[in-house]
Order: sequence, then structure tokens, then C-alpha cells
Amino acid sequence: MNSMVRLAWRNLGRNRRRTAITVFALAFAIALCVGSYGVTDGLNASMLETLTRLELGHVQVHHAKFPKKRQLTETIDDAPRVLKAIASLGPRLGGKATMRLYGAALVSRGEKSAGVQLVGVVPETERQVTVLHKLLARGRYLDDAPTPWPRGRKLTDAERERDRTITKKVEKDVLDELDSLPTLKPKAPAPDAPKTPAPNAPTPNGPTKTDATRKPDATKKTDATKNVGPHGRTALKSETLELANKLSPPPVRPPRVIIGTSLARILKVKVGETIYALTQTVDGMMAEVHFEVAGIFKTGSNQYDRTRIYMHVGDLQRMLHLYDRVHEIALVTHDAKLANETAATLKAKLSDDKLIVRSWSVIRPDVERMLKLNKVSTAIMIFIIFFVATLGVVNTMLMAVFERTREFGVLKAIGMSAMRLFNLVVIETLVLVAFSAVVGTIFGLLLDGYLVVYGLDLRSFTDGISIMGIGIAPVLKGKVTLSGLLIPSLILGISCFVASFYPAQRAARMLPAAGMREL
Amino acid sequence: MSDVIVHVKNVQKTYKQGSIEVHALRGVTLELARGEFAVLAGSSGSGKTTLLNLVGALDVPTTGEIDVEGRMLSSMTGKDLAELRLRRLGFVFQAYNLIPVLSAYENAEYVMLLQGEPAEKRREKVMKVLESVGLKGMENRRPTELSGGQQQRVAVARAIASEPALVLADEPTANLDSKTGSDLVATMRKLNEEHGITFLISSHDPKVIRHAARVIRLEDGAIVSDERQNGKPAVGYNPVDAATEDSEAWRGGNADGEDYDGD
Ligand SMILES: Nc1ncnc2c1ncn2[C@@H]1O[C@H](COP(=O)(O)OP(=O)(O)O)[C@@H](O)[C@H]1O
Ligand SMILES: [Mg+2]
Repeated sequence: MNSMVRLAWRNLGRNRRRTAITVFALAFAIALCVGSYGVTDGLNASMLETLTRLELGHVQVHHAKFPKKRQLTETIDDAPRVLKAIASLGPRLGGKATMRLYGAALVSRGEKSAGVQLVGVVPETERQVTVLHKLLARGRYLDDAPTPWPRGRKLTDAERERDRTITKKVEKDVLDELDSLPTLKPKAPAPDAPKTPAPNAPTPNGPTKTDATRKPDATKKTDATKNVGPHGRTALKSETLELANKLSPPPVRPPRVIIGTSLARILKVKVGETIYALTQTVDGMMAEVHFEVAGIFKTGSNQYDRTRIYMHVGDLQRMLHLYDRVHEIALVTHDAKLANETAATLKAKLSDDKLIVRSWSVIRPDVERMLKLNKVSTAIMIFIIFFVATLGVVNTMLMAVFERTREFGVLKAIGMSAMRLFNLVVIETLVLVAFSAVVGTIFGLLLDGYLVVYGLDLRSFTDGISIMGIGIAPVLKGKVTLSGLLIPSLILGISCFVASFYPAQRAARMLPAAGMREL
Repeated sequence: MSDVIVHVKNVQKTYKQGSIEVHALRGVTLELARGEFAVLAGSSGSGKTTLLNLVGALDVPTTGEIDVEGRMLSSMTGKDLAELRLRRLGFVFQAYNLIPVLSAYENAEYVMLLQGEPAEKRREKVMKVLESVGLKGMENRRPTELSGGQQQRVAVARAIASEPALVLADEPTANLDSKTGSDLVATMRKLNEEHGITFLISSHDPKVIRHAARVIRLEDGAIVSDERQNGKPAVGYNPVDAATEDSEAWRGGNADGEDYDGD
């Protein structure tokens, strides 16, 4: 065998130019494939990274019904137990976890408004799970502590009585107003209509029941205009507010939030400015609050940049009246490939029918399919490249066999069996491919190195690619994987191995006497 | 000792070239005893190569039968025939036909490699046969770095290194000058004498024919004469006779000539 390899190697050295051309072509094909594996693996890693490090994590825990309807009430009620279970997963499957609460709101500033998703996060742990803190284009990340927000108290009997009186009075006033409507000028019904489009004007049973929170400056303004309005309604309103604030006092300052670049552009808001938000609490009441924009982030994904507001989970819990409760616990493990195993283990540990534990691939099967598709399309490309390369190899070997007709005759005459002759040609092919594979893989590694260090700059085409709502960094970095390095050579080796059977068979079938005749 | 090593029985070989049939051999019958040094003489086109190819199992007769060492070639499989060529036969061809990418040493070694001999034995044997054909010190040369005579001697070394029973040589001296040709024949004659290897050599070279103990003449595909030459026993050749004729040439052509002198 050893001598066959030696003979094969020497035979390749005979027609150096032809061998060099073949090696170059094969090496080029391999380098190209190694490179495209580098790009595909990079793209896939980037997609997975973006997907998991922007929000998803590798494994998520929810209330069993939350994924379908995303109702405020569908919360994880014993988050500490889940966190404890995660902590006990151990070093291989475990990782960093963070809790989140979701809410919806209408935000506005001046004339501009937009529907958004409020995401309450634990800034400290979120930092370990997602890259949100790294994506700030302006301003800063969330504070670790929630906004100081005094606790409310129950109303005393006297206060509750007063509230009822006011309500009745306002009701009566409104009815009176309606009765006298035909005689009134258009401006009369709402003398101090709010500047913002949100309905913070008192409605018959409005203030006491719906206003969970109050913007401080609104309160001040109301104080300043006390007793000035017609029919004494301003006074009543202010008194109502005071009662409401006792029940659910406003934060000492507007909670700080971070918003996406697109949303900031829509609302025309800068860092340090406030926006107004209107939402609904878990008990179905309207709640309004002012936010201070602490930072503006840019993920590259329009979906995130336009519709998301991140804030401290404590602040959102207060806003939504979901004290201590969260909707989601996201976990980033050390290895995305182990996500399914982690999810299964965690699920077993929790053994709670009310909770659902899913890995990223279960949550986003579309993304998983996409990643697979990327690999398949690379494989198809490699197949095509290698098909052509293999044809070239067969051609080279056929030439090598035919021009050595005499020599094969001699080899047969001196006792080389047909099978050995067959093997000789196959080995010659494999030596050729192996040599090319080494050269090609080295070139491919250099190509990969370039892709890893400099990446594929897509900025001249676009300033942010988003595939399936997943933002991809504009400079696509390659990724070197062992399989990406070895698979091209392996595939080419196998295809050339099979293809070499044809020239090998031609050599083996050669008649020794035919080989011996002088031509 | 003088058992029959080759038995050619009424062999015909007809080549078809398009519509023309070429009758290369028209019923040849021949027996070759073990240890013989026989020359197949005849003009070009008389069928010498054809006969050697048939005996060497490189081709099959159209009709007739050939036994080599008592085995009927027509009854053997391709694998058996390869095995026979590998272990029992040695070939020397007109156009040297060495493997160009291997050195003299490696060419001589190759058959033994195929035979699966251990490295130690190969080395010992190859050095010995290269020395016996007068190529000591040229082991590492590639065929292109050797003269025609040297190449042909490598071919002889290759043919005998495997310790065959029968060496078939097809016009081994045709491409050599007369002195080199004489050296080569002397070498083969010596090997025949010393190792009892049977030689069947085709040639129309008078120098070769002179050395032969037995001359079989072919004409137009048929044997026209088969005779033992004067004073030269077909089997059990006495090298002293040959030395008197060829010692001059041998010495002139090879520095190691005296090794062969007086053996
Ligand atoms: N492969 C072949 N096809 C057709 N004719 C052949 C072939 N080989 C040999 N011949 C013919 O057979 C005859 C004998 O050839 P050959 O055995 O080579 O003679 P020699 O070796 O004595 O010169 C010649 O007429 C030659 O032309
Ligand atoms: Mg001939």
C-alpha cells in the first residue's frame, strides 16, 4: 500500500504542469467552499446570535397560555422558584437568566403617537442575557434600581364618601350640561381640554377609578388652576386627583425608559425629553404615565427599533398592577446547541403544568428552518462546484491512464493484478485530491481569516439587513468551524474517489499484450 | 530435472484487422525443458512476439493449448494468471519498459513488492541482482539517467529478482549496440547457468543466436527448425565456452567484468 502511494505520488510528478493545474483548480474549489461555509456559518451564527441575544435567549419559560394570547394575567406567579431551578441546572446546561414583563401602550409626544410594546426588564440580569445595553446609539442604559414610587394606601371611609359625593356631583353637572346643550356655544363642553390627545380629562366615573398614575407636572398644573374653572369643576377635579394619588400615588419622577431609533424618529423625541404613555392595568383600568427617555437604542431590526420601549420591570409592574409577577424568564446557556436538552431538563425540574418551557428552536421554528436552509443552499452550491471539479479530475485521470497504456501493460505483465492496477489509479486520484485538499483548506482558512477579521461589508448595499425580522449586522463576519473546514475536502474526496472508478476501470481492463505492442 | 516447463500444443493465433485476418501463428507445437536457454529466431513479422505473449499469458491463442508448469493457461482465471506472471514468470521487453518514475533499485524491487516480500529480503535480493547484472552503484538512477544497455539490464534484474521459473525476453538486444547486446546475453546466460532459470528469448540478432543452446526458427508463423547448437548443451550450459567468445566485450563494457570472469 505504501509503495502504491509512493508510486502514485511520483506519477503525479510526471506531468507537473497538468498536476499543478488540476491541484490549483481543486484547491480553488475547496477554498471557495471553505469560504462559503465561513460566510454561511457566520450568517447563521449572526442570525442566531441576534435572535437569541436580542431578546429570546436560548430557553424561555412562560405561563402555559401566554405564548398564544399574551394576556397580562398570564404570568409566572412564582418566578423565584423558576430561577432557583435554573440555577440548579449545573455548568453544562445552565446559564444566565432574566425576567421580563410585557405590556402594550399608546405613546405620544405632541402630535405624534405610536402603539408600542412595553418591556419591563431587570437591567442587571438583562445585561447578562441580551446585548441591549450594547446597542445604545445615544443616552444611557436603564438604572439598576426602579423609579422611587410611593406606595398607595386604601381610602378612609370619609374619603370614600367624599369620592362618591364628587362623582354624583359631576354626573349631575354633566347631565345638566347635556340638557342645556342646544343653547351652548361649541367651546363650552370641555373648557380645559388636555393638550395631549390622551383622555386624561375627567369623565363621569373617570378619575377615581381609572387614573392609576399621574404625571407630576399635570398635578402641579391642576393645582395652579384650582378654583379658577367654571362651575367649580376644576376644584372637584383636583380633589378627585388627590384622592386618586392617595390610592395610587405617582412616581417621584417620570420612569426612565429606553426606546428604539425608529420610534424616537416617529415621536421626534431626544434623550432627556419625556413622552406620554397610556396603558391598561391588569384590572382593566386605564393608566397614564410620563416616561423620560434615558437612551435610544438601535438593533438594526425595524421591528425592535420601532415598537419597543424597555423599562425597569419594577416600574412596569407598578404601572400594570402586576406586583412581583413576570411574563417571561429567558435563559442564555453556554451552548445554543444544547438548548433543547436544557429546556427538557428544566421542564422536568419544574414539573409544573402551568408553565411552558421552550427552546429557541421551538419558539422560532421558522428561524431554525432558515438556518437549515442556509446550510442546504451552501451544500447545493458546493455540490455544483464539486461536480464540475470532479469532472475535471476524471478527465485528468483518463488522460493519465491513456498516455500510460504501455506502462500499465508492463505492470500487468510483471504480475500486477487488475485489482491492484485499479487501486493504483484510485490511489493516484486520492493523492491528487488530498494534496489539493491541503492546499485548498489552507487557502480557505486564509479566506476565512479575512472574513473573520474584516467581514463582508454590506454597508454599501444597505444600512441594516433584516431576515425574518432578525437584524443582521451590516458587516457580516465569517465564522470558522471545524466542519466548515473539513466538509468540503471530505465531499470532494468522496466524489473524486467514486469518479476515479471510471479511469481505474479503464486501466484495469487494459490487455497486457495490447500494452506491450509497439504503437 | 529436465521436466517440461512450457508445452505449446498446436497453437494458432489469428489477428483480425478489420476484414483482414492475419495468421500470426499457424499451428505451433513446442516443448521447453526446465533450465533451457532457448532462442526463438526468425525475421520480423514471423510471430516471435505473438508466441512469447501467448506463453506469458499476456494474450490468448485462437486455437490450441499452452501449459506452463503443468497448468493449462486457458483454464486459469485472470487472477490466477496475474499470480502466475507475478511468481513464476519474468519479462524483458524490447523497449526496456521500465517504470519511468522509479529508480533502478525500485524497478527491480517492484515485483517483489507486489509479491509481498518483507523489506529486508527485498533489499538483500535487489542489491544482489543489480550487482549480478553489473549495475552496482547505479541503484538510485531513474531510467532516463541510464543508457539503453543499463536500462535493459535493470529490466533483466527486475525479471529475475522475483526468482521466476521462466524468463521471456522479447528481442532484448534489438535496441542495443552490439557490444552492449553481447554483455546482456552473457549476463542472461550466466543467470541461466547459476540459478537454473529457464530463458526463452526471441531475437534475430546473430550474437544472441550464437549464445543459444537451442535455436527454434519461426517463419511466417510456423516452426521451420528446432536444433541444439554444436557443443552447447541445451541444459547445463558451461560458461567457460561463452567466456572465451565474449570476455573482451564484457570487460570493455563493465568495470565489474572480472566478477564474472572465470565463474
Ligand atoms: N495486435 C495485432 N493486430 C494485428 N496484427 C498483428 C498484431 N500483432 C501482430 N500482428 C501481426 O502478426 C504477425 C506476427 O507479428 P509478431 O508476433 O509481432 O512478429 P515478430 O515479433 O516476429 O516480429 C505480423 O504480421 C504482425 O503484423
Ligand atoms: Mg516482435
